[in-house]
Amino acid sequence: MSRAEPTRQRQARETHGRRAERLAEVWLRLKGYRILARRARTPHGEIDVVARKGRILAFVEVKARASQAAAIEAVTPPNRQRIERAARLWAARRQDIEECHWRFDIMAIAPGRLPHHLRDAWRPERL
Amino acid sequence: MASAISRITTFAFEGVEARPIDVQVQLSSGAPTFTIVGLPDKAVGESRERVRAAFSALGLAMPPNRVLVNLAPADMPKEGSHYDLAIALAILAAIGAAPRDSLDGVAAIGELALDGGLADTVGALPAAMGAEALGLSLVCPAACGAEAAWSGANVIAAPSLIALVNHFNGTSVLSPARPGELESEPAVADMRDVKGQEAAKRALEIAAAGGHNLMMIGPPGSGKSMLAQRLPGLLPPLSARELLEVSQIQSIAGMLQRGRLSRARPFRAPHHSASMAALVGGGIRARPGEVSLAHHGVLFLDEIPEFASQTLDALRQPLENGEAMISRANRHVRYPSRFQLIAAANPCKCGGGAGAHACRKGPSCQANYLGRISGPFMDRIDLFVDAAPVTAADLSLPPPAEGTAEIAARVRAARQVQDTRYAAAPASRRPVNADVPGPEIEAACAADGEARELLTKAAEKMALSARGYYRVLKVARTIADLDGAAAVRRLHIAEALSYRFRSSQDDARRHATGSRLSV
Repeated sequence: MSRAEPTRQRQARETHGRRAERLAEVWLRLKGYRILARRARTPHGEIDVVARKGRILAFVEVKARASQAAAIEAVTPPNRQRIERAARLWAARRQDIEECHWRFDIMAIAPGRLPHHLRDAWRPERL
Repeated sequence: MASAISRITTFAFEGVEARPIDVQVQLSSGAPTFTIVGLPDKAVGESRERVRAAFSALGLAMPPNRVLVNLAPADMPKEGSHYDLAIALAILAAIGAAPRDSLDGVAAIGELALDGGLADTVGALPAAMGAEALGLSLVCPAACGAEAAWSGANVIAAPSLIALVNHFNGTSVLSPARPGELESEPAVADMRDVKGQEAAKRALEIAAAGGHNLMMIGPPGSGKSMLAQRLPGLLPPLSARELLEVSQIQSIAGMLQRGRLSRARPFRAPHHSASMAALVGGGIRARPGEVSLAHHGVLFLDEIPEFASQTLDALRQPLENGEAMISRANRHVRYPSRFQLIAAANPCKCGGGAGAHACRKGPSCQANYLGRISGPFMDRIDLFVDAAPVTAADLSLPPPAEGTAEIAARVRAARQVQDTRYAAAPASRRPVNADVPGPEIEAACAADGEARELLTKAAEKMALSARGYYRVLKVARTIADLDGAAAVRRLHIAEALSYRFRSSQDDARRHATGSRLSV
C-alpha cells in the first residue's frame, strides 16, 4: 500500500477494499458476531475486523479478489505474521477479552458470490 | 477461565533405565499456540505436528486454546519420538474427548503416524518395567505389545489413536497384550565341522566354562573365526534375570522383532573399522555400543591388532567394571557390559603361516604387530592359544568324535559347579571363575602343596604380576571344574600356565637359556 501508485488507481482500490470490509462486517453480524473494532491500527500493522462471538475472539483479514481461492491465497505468511503481531498489541490494550480464545480468520470476497468466512485459517507458530 | 490441566506419565531413557516423566497439558485462553516445554529435542518438538495431523485424521481439531505441554522434570533433556502418544492422550483428556480420570494410573509411550496410527518405538520393555515398578499400566503401540508384556505389567497395545479413544470411552475395550514367544534356539554351527585345532578347541571349552577372555593367534585360514562362531553353541542359555537385562538393551537398541526374546547368548562381531562410539556406545542419543549389546554374551574381535588402538583402550573400562559409561555435558549414561571377549589375530602383519605366508621379517615383525595392542589390554586376557595352520592331513581326517553337544554338556556341568559355589556372590558379577576377585579365588582353589609349589616357581620364572598370578589360578580353577575336581591340582596349574602369552622373542630367549617350563 505504501508503494507509489497513481492517485486515482489507489483511490479505486481503497474504495474497493472498504466496500469489501463493510460486506464482511455485515456478514459477520448476520452470523452472530459482535464487531469490536474495524481497521484497528497498531504500530505493527492493521487488523481489518476484530469480532467476538461468545468466547471466541476472531481476528478477520478481509480480502477481495477475482475468485475466493485467489483471495485466500493472497494472505501470505508475512501477512499472517503482521496480523499476529498486530493482534497481540491490540489485545494488550483491551481488558475485556482476557477470557477469550483467539482465532485467525479470512473473509474471502469475490464478485457475484456470498462472502466465504474461512474460520481458523491459520495458527500462529509462536506468539 | 479455570485452566484445565490433565496429566499422564511417560518415560525418558537413561541407559537402560526408564525415568518417569510427567506430561502436563494446560489449555488456557489466548492465542491458539501449541507449545512444548521441558527441554525437548528436535524429534520431541516435532511431535506437535504429528499430534496435530493425527487429530485431524480423527476428525478432531486442535482445541482453540493456548495449549501448553510441560514435560517434567523440566531440566532433563528429552530425546526421541516416543512422547507423541502421551502428549496426544493428555490433550484428548483435556478437551474431554476421553474421560479425564481414564488416564489415572496409566503411562504411555509411542510415536504417532500422520493418519493417527501408532508406530513401533524403541524401549517398550524398559518402559513397561518402569510402569510396573510404579504400579501403572502401560499404553503402547500394537507393534510393541508383545515385547512390553514380558515385563509383567498390564499392557494395552493399541493399533491407533482412535482405538485408544474408544477404549478409554468404553465403546470397544482392548484386551491386555500377551508376551511374545521365545525365539527358538538358532541353529549354531557345530564344533564337529572343525578338523584339527585340538588345542584351540580345548581353550575355547575352558573359556566357555569359566567365562574367560580368550585370544587366538594363528595364521590366516587356520580357523580362528570358525572356532569363535561356534562358541555360542557351547555356552549355557541365558538365565531369566540375564534374559531380562539383555532384552532391555536390545529393546533400547530397537533389535527385538515382534517381542520375541531369545535365550541364546548374544554374539557380537564388530568389524575392525568400528569407531569408539560404535563399540562402547554414544552417538546423538547415547545409544548402546557393541560391548553392551554383547552383555552376558560374547564380543568377538577378529583381527584385533587392526582395531584403532584408542578404540581398544576404550574397551578397558567396560572390561574391568562391567559397564560402559558415556559422559555427556549434563549427565552420564550407563549401559551394562559384562561380556566375554574373544579376540583373534594373525601372528604378524605378513600372516605368519607356513609356506607362502611365512614371515620374512623375523621376530620383530610379530613384536611390532601384536605390540599394537597395549600391555594393559593384553593383561585383561586370560587365555592365549596358538591356532596352528591346518595341514592337508588334518582335512582328510574323519570328522572328530566330539561335537558341540558333548562339549556343551561338560561346560554346563562346570557352570553348575560355579553357580553353587558363587550363589552368594553379588548380582553385579557373573557367577563364573573369571569374575571372582583374587582373594576369593585363592580360597576356592584349595590348591595342594604340589600345585602351590609349581605356581610359585612359575610366578618367579615368568615374572607374573599379581593380576597374572590370580589369572592363572582362575583358569586352573575352571580346568579343575571341567575335570570335576574339588581341589586344584598340579596338572590344572600346569595347563593354566600353558595359556599365558609368550611372544616368539620370549621363546627364543628361553631356548637360549635352556630354561623351558615343563608343561
